[in-house]
Amino acid sequence: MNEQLEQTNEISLVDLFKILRNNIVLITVLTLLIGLIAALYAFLIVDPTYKSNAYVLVQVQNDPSSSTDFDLINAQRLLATAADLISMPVVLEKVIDDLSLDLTPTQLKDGLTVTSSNTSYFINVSFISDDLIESKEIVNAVIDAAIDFADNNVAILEDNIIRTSFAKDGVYEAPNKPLYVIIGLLLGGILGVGIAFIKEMFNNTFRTKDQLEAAFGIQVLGVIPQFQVKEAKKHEAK
Amino acid sequence: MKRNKTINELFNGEPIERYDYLVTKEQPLSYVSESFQKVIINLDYANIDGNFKVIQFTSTLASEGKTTFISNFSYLLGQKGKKVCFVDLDLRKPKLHRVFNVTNRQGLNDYLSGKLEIKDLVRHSDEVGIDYIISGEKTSAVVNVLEAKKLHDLIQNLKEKYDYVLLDTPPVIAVSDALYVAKLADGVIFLVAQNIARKTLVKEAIQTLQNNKVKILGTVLIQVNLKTGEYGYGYDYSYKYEE
Amino acid sequence: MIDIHCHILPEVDDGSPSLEHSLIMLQKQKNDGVTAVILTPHVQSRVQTATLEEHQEKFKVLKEKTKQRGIDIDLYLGAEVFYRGHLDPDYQTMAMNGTKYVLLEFPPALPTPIEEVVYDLSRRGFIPIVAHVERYEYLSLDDYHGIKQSGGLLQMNASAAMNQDHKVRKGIVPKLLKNELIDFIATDSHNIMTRVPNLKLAYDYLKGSLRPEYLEQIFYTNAKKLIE
Repeated sequence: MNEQLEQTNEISLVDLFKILRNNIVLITVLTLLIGLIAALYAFLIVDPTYKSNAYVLVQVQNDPSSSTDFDLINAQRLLATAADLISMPVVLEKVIDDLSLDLTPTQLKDGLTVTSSNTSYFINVSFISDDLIESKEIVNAVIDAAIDFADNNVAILEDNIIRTSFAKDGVYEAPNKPLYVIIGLLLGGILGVGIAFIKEMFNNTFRTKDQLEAAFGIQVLGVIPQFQVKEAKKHEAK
Repeated sequence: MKRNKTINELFNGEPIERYDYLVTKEQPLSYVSESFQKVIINLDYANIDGNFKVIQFTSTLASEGKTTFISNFSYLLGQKGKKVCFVDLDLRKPKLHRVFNVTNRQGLNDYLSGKLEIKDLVRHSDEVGIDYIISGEKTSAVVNVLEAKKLHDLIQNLKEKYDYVLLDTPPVIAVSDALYVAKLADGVIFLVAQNIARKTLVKEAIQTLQNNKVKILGTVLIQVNLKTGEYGYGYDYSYKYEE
Repeated sequence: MIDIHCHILPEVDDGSPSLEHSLIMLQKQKNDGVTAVILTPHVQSRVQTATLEEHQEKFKVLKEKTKQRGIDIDLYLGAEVFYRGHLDPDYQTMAMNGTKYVLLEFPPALPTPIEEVVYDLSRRGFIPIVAHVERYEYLSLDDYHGIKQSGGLLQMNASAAMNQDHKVRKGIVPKLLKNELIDFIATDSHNIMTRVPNLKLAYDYLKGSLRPEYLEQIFYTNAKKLIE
């Protein structure tokens, strides 16, 4: 009987459920707590950001005399050039000037996204800012400044960058509040369950009749529950 | 059995040890009492040849609930018509006298040092329906007492007169008293309180007994908290079985 | 008010040094509104300087002189027994006014199983009163509860109740009073210089913070049982 001195480490699903149930308070509290912290963070601490965008069209002149291959490369280059132009320091500095922005060109560039497509001549200019009006104004201003610069300085693009839409008020971009809360709740839940299991692992007292019997191979004669004294017999002073 | 201090008790500051309260007597229909009955039945099976008359009770740590267990156990045995004598051999922290609400004088130590006659030593309790021997004035020469031939003879004497002689002893880990007493007993019932003693300690205690060739009749899991549903039978019970 | 613990009996311990001294102390008690006093000289203690018989004699003399002086106060004899584990005296000879109540004192710092002693004595038919309970450093609040549950009663010194005793560990006095664990407030007065009878001061001090019924009990009604 002494061979079974080591506690067998099998756990059944029922045991797992029992562990969770016994620690339900701990798990619920942690889940709600971390969820709450995440919500507070998302709703109160992180600044919301907004995104505005607008499109411009780059007119690519078709020269009937040249070959199609050359045209393709030319067109692509033109598109790329236009895109790069829009985010050039010289353009951005003008925007900063015009709008009296409290940003450096680098900061402005960080918030700016200029995307051009392989399949069309449209370029999308967008800006992310914590002010929804500002994002709109910046997009419009950037496009203005770029077109202005192109018209006055870049021959191949002169009059060829055409604004096709005006930016509207910024649309809410980040943070994704529901996502934060969900992640918070999940993390809390995981933490709670993790702690419950660790507690269980380290609990090294005897909890059940089966444990006791398995540990020593000695018969467990019985199991006696706790009880309460029913009447309070006060000791009478004689 | 020490009941857990409920919040209520903590506020009222009521102490928790009520040795003179026998739950099997006061709440005979409760689930607790039933559990005790089961232990007796199981012991009967193990004791079918009647070889185990002198039974020693010990545990891993102090205050696991030994004395309360034995007092209730002996009460039920008495109710079944068995002649029972309950002897307090925990000479360092005697508790038996509290079960019977008497002062701890004129007991075993006095008898062994010749100051007391045997007829005055063994007392009877009508309330509990059994005989008992309290430890008497505390002595520092505990080991001498436990090894005394006079004690050995006394136990033999009791064995002839009673169906069961139940011995309360100190926990195994603290002192070696339990091992000395084991030489006087036919077998040991080892008590384990739920959630109190670490497994390693319990193992150490039981191994110590086994190394000394002590016959362990069985173990009992006591002070089980029913609310966590973890007492191993697999279904929930409230301790209020019937009022 | 009734004072159940004082060393006013003259020339028997470290209390009153003379008969005259005692009379002055008794007058002070009377002025304070104390109607009855149980004299409790130290017994089984190293400061004990007289035998129990001598106590009786001195008590008789004191009673006479008190009446002569016209100090209208009732006197009773008891003792403050220092518990000695190895001794087994007849506690009845040292009881309070011949009743079953026994006033016991224990070492303040050396941990002593007071609850066991109280249990023991109560099962022998006595009602133990533990003197100046606030002084025992090794007792927790639970221990105090346990002593009462085992049949003991708790007495607190008046000076301690007024937070004048610096040897007492912090916070224990309010806890004991708030939980209404104390059964008696007594002076434990020894002389008229440094340890004066001060029951009235204590009463006034505690009047605001304790229930009126409880106040009445610890200064009067509980003690009345000892002199009936």
